[in-house]
Amino acid sequence: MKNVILLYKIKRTLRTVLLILIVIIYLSPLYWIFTTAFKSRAEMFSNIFTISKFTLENFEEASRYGAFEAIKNSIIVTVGGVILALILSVFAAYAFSRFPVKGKNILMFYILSTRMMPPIALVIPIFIMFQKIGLKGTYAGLILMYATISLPFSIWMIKSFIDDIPRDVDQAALLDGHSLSYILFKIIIPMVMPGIIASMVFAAITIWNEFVFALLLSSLDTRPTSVLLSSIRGERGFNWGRIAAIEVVYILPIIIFVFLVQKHLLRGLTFGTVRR
Amino acid sequence: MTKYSLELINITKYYKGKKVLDHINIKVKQGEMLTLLGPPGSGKTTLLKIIAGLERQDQGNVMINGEIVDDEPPYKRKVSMVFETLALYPHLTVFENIASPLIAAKKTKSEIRKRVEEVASLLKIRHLLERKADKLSGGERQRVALARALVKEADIYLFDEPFINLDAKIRTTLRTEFKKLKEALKKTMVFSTPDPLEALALSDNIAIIFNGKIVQYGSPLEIYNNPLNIGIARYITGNILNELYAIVEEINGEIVLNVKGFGQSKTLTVKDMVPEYVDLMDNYIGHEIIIANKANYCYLVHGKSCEGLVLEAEILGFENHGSEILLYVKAGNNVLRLFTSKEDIKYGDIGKKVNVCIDIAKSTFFDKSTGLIIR
Repeated sequence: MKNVILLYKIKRTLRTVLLILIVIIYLSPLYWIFTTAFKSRAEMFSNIFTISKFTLENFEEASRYGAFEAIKNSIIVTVGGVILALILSVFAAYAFSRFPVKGKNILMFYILSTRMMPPIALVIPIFIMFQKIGLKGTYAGLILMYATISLPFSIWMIKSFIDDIPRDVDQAALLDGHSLSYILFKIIIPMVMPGIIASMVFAAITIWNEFVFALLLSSLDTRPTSVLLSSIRGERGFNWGRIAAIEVVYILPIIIFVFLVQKHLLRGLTFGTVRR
Repeated sequence: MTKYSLELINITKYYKGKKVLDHINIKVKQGEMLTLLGPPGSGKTTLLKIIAGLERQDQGNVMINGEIVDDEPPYKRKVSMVFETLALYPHLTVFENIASPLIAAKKTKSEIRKRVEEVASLLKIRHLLERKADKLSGGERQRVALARALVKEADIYLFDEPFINLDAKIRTTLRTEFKKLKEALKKTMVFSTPDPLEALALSDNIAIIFNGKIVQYGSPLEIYNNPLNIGIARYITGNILNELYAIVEEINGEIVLNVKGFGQSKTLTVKDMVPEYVDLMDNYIGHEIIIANKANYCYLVHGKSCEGLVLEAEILGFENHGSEILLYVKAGNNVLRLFTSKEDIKYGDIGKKVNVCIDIAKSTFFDKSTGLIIR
């Protein structure tokens, strides 16, 4: 009996140690970024893991290099892309879930299959297309591109949430005398809110972090942070302090965002939690 | 000419190539309550949805108040419905749920409040009005669904197995309340249920549906006393029906039933037992028939005299049904079930020999080869 308890305690301790190790591995780059961003240039390589004097000089420099414009651009294209994707995917998901769409299964597969292609394979034709119709280098172009990228996942996710609502709910509302738009906006959408928020978070993270399309389709005025980061370079090699400072402002908004919606996100990620 | 609230004429519906409703003809009078009684999957829900206009029949017509409404959308049909899944709006409050049909009808705020509170009082859920619909118990949800259906001014109210997912106690309470409600409202209602007891207790008329076909239509009493075939008889008694097999024979000019399955032969003289059947049984000489005996017309013989068939039996076991005991006994090759009082039986009695009386006069007879009632 004693041995069993001892064994259990050892196992539990080992598990805890392992978890702590994993957390350290995941968080150490973040720790490095945050400390480096506040370090002076002189201290950069002498103390790798500690910091003796806080300074904001890296942020001042980052701002001179256009970090805040880039963040602004990132926010514009992310918010724009997410909103456009959500509007379209809610309508598409509702239609796919509730109406007899011809070739529904093929269409749904086709929509998903666009996710399977490597984005880099599409970049050249899209680049040429955007240049021809004057969308290259504009916010509108980037927003359109990002909405397109986010649509498949959002449609699938929101559709699966709507599928979970029994048809009887729609039919009850029809019998009550409500119109289809009332049913969609006042009944279906509020019921699938966790799903909408979860797909919104996924879309936002994907767009915020995207690099390939941003690099080719943006101009100097519209380039988002991911592009700026790759182009930052000091006179003598990389200026890590400056890069870390930009990274800090790049990471913070998405962390805050996820933190704010995490309650809904958890419900959204465990599919099928819509209560009847 | 009688005016009907609802007429279904030759309604037929296919689902994925399978016929789920087969030439359904039903007429429901103003203020009448009709129950569609049938096992799960027999097509009751589909029929109700066709009446409501939520599904379209492949053949036939739906008439409401004497007019064909096949092309009318649901909201124009003056039909209200309680769904089997209840279909409440979980993100809205009870008040908003009940008010939904009134909001759609663009009633004024004060009128909506008045009507919702009226119906809520009727169903005893006034204290729940501000609560979210997903924070209710099963019975409460049921009441909200009923309230939402009743608040709508409709000509026909449809109830699709409304009490089916409730536990027995709440079910009985709601059933009693529903009966009162029905008598107070005097509305035309179509109710569906797989539970024969519920149908017998609540309805003015019952239509029994098996596999999309109406197999019998009539008042609860008619159906209970004269089930058209053995299948209906089994179903309507909730499968507690004692069935004995017998051959109709003529011995010395008397028609007798030779009951099988007891080793030595047991003969019953038709003239003595069921004199009204003498002429009828004449047509069945040589045929095998089923003597169907409801469990409440089968009893233990002790002291009481038996005006039927006495069988020696052995107690197999029993179920406590509250005030009564459902007793299982084995007589010959047959397992019989009968209701008896609690005083008659105790745990040690299993295996004990008893005498059982089958009341032949209260039994129903069926032709074994066709399954049809003999009458």
